[in-house]
Amino acid sequence: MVAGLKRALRKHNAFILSLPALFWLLVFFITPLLLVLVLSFMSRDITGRGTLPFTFEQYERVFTTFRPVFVSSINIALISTVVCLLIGYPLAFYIKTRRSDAVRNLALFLVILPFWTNFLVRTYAWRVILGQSGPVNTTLLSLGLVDEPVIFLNTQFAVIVGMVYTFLPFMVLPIYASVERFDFRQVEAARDLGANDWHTFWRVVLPQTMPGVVAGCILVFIPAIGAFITPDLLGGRDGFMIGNLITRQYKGTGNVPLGAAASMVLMGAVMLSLLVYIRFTARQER
Amino acid sequence: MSDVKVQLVKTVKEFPGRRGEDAVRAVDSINLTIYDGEFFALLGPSGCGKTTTLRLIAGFEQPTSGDVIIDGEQMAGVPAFHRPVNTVFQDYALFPHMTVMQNVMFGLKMAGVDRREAERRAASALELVGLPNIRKRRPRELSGGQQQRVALARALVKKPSVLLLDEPLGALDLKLRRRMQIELKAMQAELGITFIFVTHDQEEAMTMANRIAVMDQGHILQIGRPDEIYETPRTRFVADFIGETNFLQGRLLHTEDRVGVVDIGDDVSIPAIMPERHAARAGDDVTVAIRPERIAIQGMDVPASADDSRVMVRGRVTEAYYIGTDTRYVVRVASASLTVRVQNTDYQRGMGFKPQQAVYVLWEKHNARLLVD
Repeated sequence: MVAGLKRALRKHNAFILSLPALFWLLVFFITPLLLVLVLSFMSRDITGRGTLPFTFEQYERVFTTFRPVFVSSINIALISTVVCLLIGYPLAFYIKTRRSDAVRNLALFLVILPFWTNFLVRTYAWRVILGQSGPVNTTLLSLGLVDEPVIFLNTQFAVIVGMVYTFLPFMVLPIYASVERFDFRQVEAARDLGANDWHTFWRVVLPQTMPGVVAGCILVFIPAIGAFITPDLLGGRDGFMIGNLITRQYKGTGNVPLGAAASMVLMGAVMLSLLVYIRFTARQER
Repeated sequence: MSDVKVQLVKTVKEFPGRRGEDAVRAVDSINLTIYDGEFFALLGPSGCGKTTTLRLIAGFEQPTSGDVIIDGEQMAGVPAFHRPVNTVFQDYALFPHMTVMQNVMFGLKMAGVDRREAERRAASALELVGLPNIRKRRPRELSGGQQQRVALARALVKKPSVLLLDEPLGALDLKLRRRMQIELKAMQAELGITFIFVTHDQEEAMTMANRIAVMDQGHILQIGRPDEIYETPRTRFVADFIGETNFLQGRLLHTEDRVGVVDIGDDVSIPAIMPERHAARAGDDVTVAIRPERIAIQGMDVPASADDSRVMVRGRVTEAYYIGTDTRYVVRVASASLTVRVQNTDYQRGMGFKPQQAVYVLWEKHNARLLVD
């Protein structure tokens, strides 16, 4: 009897060991997710909470009334990702190609340094920097480039600036990791075989650093599309994003089922981009 | 064999020193002429400037001063991708994200060769290096020897005017290296392309090259056929780097007809051939070199037979080792120790002489050479 139990235990060792994790996922991930899913198909009662009957109304509204919010969110997230890439890719190469270890380590340290300060504080700092009488406007005015202060705050532009600033390390670090693995003599090999700078970059350097680029883009795009603090503080009405839409539904007398539906759609978009990522890396591995 | 292929004229390459140190002259004003169809070796220890010289020809480095001329054309300002040369890199530098076929086709694609023609030529290049059946594999799935062949095919498919090889066999094990040496040599003879290769392995240079340039500290010390370099080394460095040599220190007594007589102590003096333009005068301290296998050893019971062409001096055996093909003796002659190598044959079996035995050592006069230090 005891021996039989032991054998059974040994046989299902892996399953037993993963029980705590499975339990955790079930309680804190799958259950809430299912709740949100169910909620998203419910109607709104007068206090803003979900109630029966089930309906597609929330999804309808997400795809009609709030479609512009999704479009502009995807826009902002995409532009932020591209700008991060355009800054981060050369930066990773710049750091990698420094001769001295000290300079390289210092540069990497500077990339990570902002994480040491509270995110909210840093975002508020951008309010000051981009403000009517902030350093950017003062400089522009004193140089005579503009006649009156430029309105940066509460625009999509300010949101993009804030996001690029916040997420740049997530772009630089994975790219740096793949640049680190890149064998620079391949540049010479390509040139030796008749490739000019342009062809060397597109056919030899970029393909081999692509995993870092893709990882960086995913790591920036996913948090960017769901961001709500940055657009809240810097975007105003113009920079209103999905994140803000969802928060608003859950706070006060909003529309919880609508928020749930928007969350599901957002999650769908994120999963779609992850799928792209997995497909891409699978192709690289082969 | 008489057309000049590559020429370096007073070529200098300096690298900036680190942290306020002086600039380093990796290549110090070298002159070098390589002819069409040659298999040419740049030989020297690490840091001698041989790889930098190769990179100057390839176009990865620009000379600080002086010229690099390929096929009669000045290469100053001509980037690597426009030079009629291709390189086989030390660790091959194959493109890991491409298949073997794509690697070999890369250079043709860059040259705008159409796809079908490129495939045909790449396939025949792979056949040439003996790898027709691995086109779809990736470099990391190949053995070192196979990678080496792919690198060779990738460079040769471009039909370069000159093929540069940077320690091409350095990463292979000894057996494979020997085989590749012979294959490379045969391939070069068949294709008729000028090969310039860099190596620190003197045996490899001797086996493959028609001519060798021995380099040290950014200078070319001597250029010549393998046998010239071996038989008539000009400097102590060359004699020491190529093969094994005995060095005898002494004082030059007098010279006559390019033969110097050198006092090596204990009232023993030996004649030594002086290389051209040797500046030593009577009274100078000089070094004489003799190869161990050119020295014979003879018992005292055999009558001495020195004559005009043969040198014979007394000595005493201090050590004797049997090492299979040869027996090595160390013989004390005057204040010097001479290593003598005697091949073990059916007629002359090893260990014929014992330590402490008094012997004659003898050699043909032309084997002892005065060196430039």
